[in-house]
Amino acid sequence: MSNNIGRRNFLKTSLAVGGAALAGHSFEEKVLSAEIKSGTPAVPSTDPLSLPKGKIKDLELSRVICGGNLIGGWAHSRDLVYVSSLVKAYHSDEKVFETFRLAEHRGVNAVLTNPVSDRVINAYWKQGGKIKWLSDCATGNIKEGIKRSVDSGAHAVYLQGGRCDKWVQEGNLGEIETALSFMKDQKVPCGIGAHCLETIRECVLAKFEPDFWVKTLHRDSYWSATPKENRRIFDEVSGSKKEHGQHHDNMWCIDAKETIDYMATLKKPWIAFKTLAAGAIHPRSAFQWCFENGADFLCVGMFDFQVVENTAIADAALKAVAKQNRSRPWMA
Amino acid sequence: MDGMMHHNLPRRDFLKLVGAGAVAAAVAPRAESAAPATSGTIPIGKIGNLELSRLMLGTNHITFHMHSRDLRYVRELSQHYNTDEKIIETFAAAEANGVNTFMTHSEAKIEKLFKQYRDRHNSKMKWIIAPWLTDDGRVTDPAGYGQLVPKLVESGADALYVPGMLTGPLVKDGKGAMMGELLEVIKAAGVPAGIAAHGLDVVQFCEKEKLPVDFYVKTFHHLKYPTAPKPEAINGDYAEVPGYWCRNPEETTDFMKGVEKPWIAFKVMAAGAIPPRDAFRYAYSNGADFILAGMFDFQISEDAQICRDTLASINSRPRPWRG
Repeated sequence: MSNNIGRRNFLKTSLAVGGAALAGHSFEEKVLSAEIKSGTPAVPSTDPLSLPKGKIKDLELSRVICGGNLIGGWAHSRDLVYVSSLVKAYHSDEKVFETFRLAEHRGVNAVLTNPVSDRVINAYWKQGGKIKWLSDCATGNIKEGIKRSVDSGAHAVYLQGGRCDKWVQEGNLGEIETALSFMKDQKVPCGIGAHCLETIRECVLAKFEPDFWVKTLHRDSYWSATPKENRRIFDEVSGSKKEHGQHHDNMWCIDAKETIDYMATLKKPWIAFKTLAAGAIHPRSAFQWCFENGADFLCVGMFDFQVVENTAIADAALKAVAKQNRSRPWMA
Repeated sequence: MDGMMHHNLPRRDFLKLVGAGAVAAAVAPRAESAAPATSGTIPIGKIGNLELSRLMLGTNHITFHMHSRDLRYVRELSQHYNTDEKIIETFAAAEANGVNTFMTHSEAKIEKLFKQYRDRHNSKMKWIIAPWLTDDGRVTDPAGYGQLVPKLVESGADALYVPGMLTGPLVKDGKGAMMGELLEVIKAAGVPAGIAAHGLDVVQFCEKEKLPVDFYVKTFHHLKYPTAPKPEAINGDYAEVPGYWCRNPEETTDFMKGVEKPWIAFKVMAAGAIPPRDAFRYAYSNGADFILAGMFDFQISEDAQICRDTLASINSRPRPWRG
């Protein structure tokens, strides 16, 4: 990604605090050095930012939410087999804390991720972090995933898109109904996720009433997108193919226009995810477009070294959209 | 986080682990052929008098030429992950696992780090360099080589080769004979001299003209991965998008059958798209004598074992081992 400008500014502001003695050190070295001196986690040395917020019931969330796949190591890197391992290797606990601290400093107050990240999130909270957690509940039996999430402090829960897509593909809407009911018993906001628009449609037809939707949204104008003629409903849950031009962990919204049109008819908040097509689309080409087209929140996987630039882009995008009349009103 | 490798190990334990492995690798008897190795070693081949592991450590992931198709963040992630300290750890992990050779293009930062590693850790790792970059630009002619090559040899290079980024254009521009001059500059410095290529035409030229090549460094991978180009999308020797670096693997196999010089195959995983088990088998079983692989520290142990397993199970090749 063209993080060069953001990174330069990032380093410039870091250097201002780090001083000449640390001028040759990396950002993380500066943070660690500051922590060692003060005994407490360092506040990132870049300008703070306050991003606009929206509400899902009583839960106030920044309009950009940290995605959790990068922390969990699900990089969705097409056929590049090493990237997920690299992502996991990069994210030591300390690196996760550093990323969260920087995100909060830049106005991002929530992270959306899997229950397996409950340990590191709780460890972050123990350090004084305030980031809110939305869990996709996708571990083991779905009720166990919901229970584990809520018991571990999740501020909201939802049914992961892959699970819901699979249930709808199998004609098993009863699973969604049961899980939604169980989530509602937990007294936290609860949502339904989907990669496939058909999943949302079926849930609406079944009169399910989640507190929010979590639906993929991204453009298809990137090189590794599946050619139009090869896109199939439920691609995401039908396995990767080895043949040229077929789905191989490379596309999560095969029908952006239909998604935009359909979501415009729904009155509950919409968290759009995979907005960058897992790294192939620059935030400049994604954030404003997603907000203009109806998303109330964006879930965005961000490395620590991307947070400053991405939040600046999001802030500018939201200011630009605020001057427009969205065809879909803000639902949160 | 679950699934992490060396980050889960306390640093002292990690250094103890690679340190013990390095000692084991240094004292273990070395095989002269591709016979199965004991744990921690990798079968050895020869280029000139150099004994080189059949799996060599590549450089693009630590000099950040990542070839990550349209996932542009991968390069920056690699830059943040591969700190100087991590690069040193990568060298140590490679040596501990029997990878005794590091290949890179000339670049000041990586040269400094590798020299630092060799000096401070009493390393026996071999170093093969492509003279290419100086602080003030690219070296592209015999005069430039005449200045750079002695410096690299003085710094500790064990062998040198002319990079593919240089040889391809020379052959295509009808200036292939200059490769012979560059090889002579290297030979005059007293180390083995190689030729690298993305296109088979470079190797064919060298063989036809009987240039004084001691070894070839030629790309080699199949084209059966999801993002490989369709035949009609292949318009040159290599491309970043769609990512490919060996346009004609069958033809390469056929031609290399008749080549008697050692062959170091590179880009065998098509820059990350072909899993190593598949890639290594394809390369060795089709004639490669050595594999040059970019490996992060956390991949090295597994890749080394895959290399040992693969070499132990190959019964026939289209060409004899040439190194």
